[in-house]
Amino acid sequence: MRYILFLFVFVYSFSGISQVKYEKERRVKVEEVPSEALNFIQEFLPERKVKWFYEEGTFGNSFESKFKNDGLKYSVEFDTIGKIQDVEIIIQIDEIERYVYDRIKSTLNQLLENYSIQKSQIQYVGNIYDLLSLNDLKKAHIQQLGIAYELVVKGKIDGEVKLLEFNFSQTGDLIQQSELQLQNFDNLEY
Amino acid sequence: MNIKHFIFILCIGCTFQLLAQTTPGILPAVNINKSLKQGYSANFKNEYRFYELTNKFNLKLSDFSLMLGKKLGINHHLSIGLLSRFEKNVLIPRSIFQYTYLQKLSRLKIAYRLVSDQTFEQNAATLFRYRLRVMTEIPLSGQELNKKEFYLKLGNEYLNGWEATVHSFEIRGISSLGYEFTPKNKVEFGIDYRFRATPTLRSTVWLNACWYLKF
Repeated sequence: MRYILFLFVFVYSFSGISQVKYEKERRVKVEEVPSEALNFIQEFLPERKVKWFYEEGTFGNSFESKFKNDGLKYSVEFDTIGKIQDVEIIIQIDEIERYVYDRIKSTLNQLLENYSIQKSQIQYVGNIYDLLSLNDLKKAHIQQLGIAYELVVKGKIDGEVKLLEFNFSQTGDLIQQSELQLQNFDNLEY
Repeated sequence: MNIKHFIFILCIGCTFQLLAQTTPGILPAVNINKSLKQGYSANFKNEYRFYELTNKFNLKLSDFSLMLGKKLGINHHLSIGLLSRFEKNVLIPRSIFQYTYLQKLSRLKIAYRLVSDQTFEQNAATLFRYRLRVMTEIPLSGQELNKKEFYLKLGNEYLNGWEATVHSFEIRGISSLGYEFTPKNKVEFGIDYRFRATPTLRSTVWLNACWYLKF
């Protein structure tokens, strides 16, 4: 029994590193959003209109609010009952600390023959109080928050172009790698 | 009203405006794509062109094309192929060289296409054309296009042609409403407006319908 359990954990841990990720999002009205999530956004950005989405994915469903703040694109994710999960901000890849960026680049170079980074996000996790401070990045409690980086990368593996999502830790260690469905451009090409 | 709804209403308005001015022709097509190994792909397209003549739609021509594509890098695609046009029981062959640069923005997918084609018609000089097209896809719900969702497809194309010493220049505007059953199965209906500036002024409107399949 212990061997079966070990085998299960072993196989499962590898499936977490590389798997095909499914995501589907749809726009939702404010009335459909749990009140806890609305309260957070109300406190985060009292006078700003935000767009709400419901996302169904491999790792569960969630509500997501997207908005711009100080010229940056924010995405705040909540679970289905409105509990805050994380705050993500779209960044330029070169905004990542140099030594972390170098480690990320080295990992990507090892895994992929050729690649282009399509999207890079910094992800903050922590308690509500600290996450709320992210509405003003100059005064944010960065030291109290957990940081991770999420990159969407189009890259070549074994001669085949794939769309991949990589999650890196604050220090640039690879946490998770998932394959996303490659966008179909046929109707724009031909 | 957000920008997507504004664009959508603008497209509908322009469509009715164009349809009111001229009788459109019809362009039904089927477009089949197959991914092959090592970044190669094949595309087969079959398109018909019907135009109205004395309240009846007549078949003007039919096109069959077969293209072989190869991914050159992450976002670059090169294709070569042949098109066979049947017009009044005459076969007109056309060779096509196509380069496409694909770009994915947070909401939009954009394809920049550069085409060089040569049409070999009997008893006429070879027609050389150089075409530049920009085509974009805008999802109508959410930021990414998912299955069972509608999208807008907007495009603009510039065509320069030389047949012996005669130069022709044409501008095309394409706007379609699409529906994605699955990422490999889409249908589109829309309007294709073509304005020829030289050698003679001419504007035509086509109602297009295309079914895209990928295997």
